[in-house]
Amino acid sequence: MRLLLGALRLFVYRALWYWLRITSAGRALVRALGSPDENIRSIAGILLAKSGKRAEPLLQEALARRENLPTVLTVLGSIGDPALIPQLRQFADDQSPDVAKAAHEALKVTESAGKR
Amino acid sequence: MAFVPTYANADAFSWSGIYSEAARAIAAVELQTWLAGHGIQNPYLLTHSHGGSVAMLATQNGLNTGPLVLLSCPVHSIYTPDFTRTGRVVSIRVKLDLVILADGGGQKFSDPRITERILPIWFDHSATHDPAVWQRYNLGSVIPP
Repeated sequence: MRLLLGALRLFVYRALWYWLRITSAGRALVRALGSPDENIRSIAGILLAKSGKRAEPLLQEALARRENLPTVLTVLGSIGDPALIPQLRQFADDQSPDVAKAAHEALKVTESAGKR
Repeated sequence: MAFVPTYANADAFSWSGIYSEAARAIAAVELQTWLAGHGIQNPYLLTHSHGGSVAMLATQNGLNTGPLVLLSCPVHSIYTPDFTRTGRVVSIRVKLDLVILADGGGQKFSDPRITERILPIWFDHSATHDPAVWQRYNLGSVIPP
């Protein structure tokens, strides 16, 4: 039941942010990327990825704070916006191997999308 | 049959898990390349979530596999196995998987060539890769030998 409530909360956050433009609800979605529950992390990531470019400012904020890296990089890779390539490159040589790997993967997918 | 777990060593196969069709297409090619580079033929593939999509895409690209086990795999029409290239295909899932709900995929395969096993567990996408769940429901007996 706790999982169901947690997931419902994410769907509500997404609706409040996406449809009513309540930024704090969007930030709550980004925070959920750091949940200890794999289900919650996955749902938050999918909801942000499906929001496409609308999610970019929130994710860029998180990048600046190094919040929930490397998951934020993975979501940015999911969006696949070639305009973000320079930002993704900044993390490709990160001292954290997990962050650098996520940045490389995001770059690979984004660059391939840009070629198509 | 030699058992080479793809997650167990430094040279393990992994894919980004990036949530896009492009990422899965890249991963399918990389899986095929990884297996060829390790001289592994007809691998027994145990996959979770869109990892199953990656494996099914790889069979569409020409990868021959042994049995293919799909754990909590979202159902999308573009991700179906090439049944001429796979062994038995088994899908294990929970009831109303909330991650699949967010994904927008179907909750169950309709193709009769895929054996579905639905566990008496609600909502939890990660349950199917939990060793305790495998023990409780004796899932070792559900998957092909």
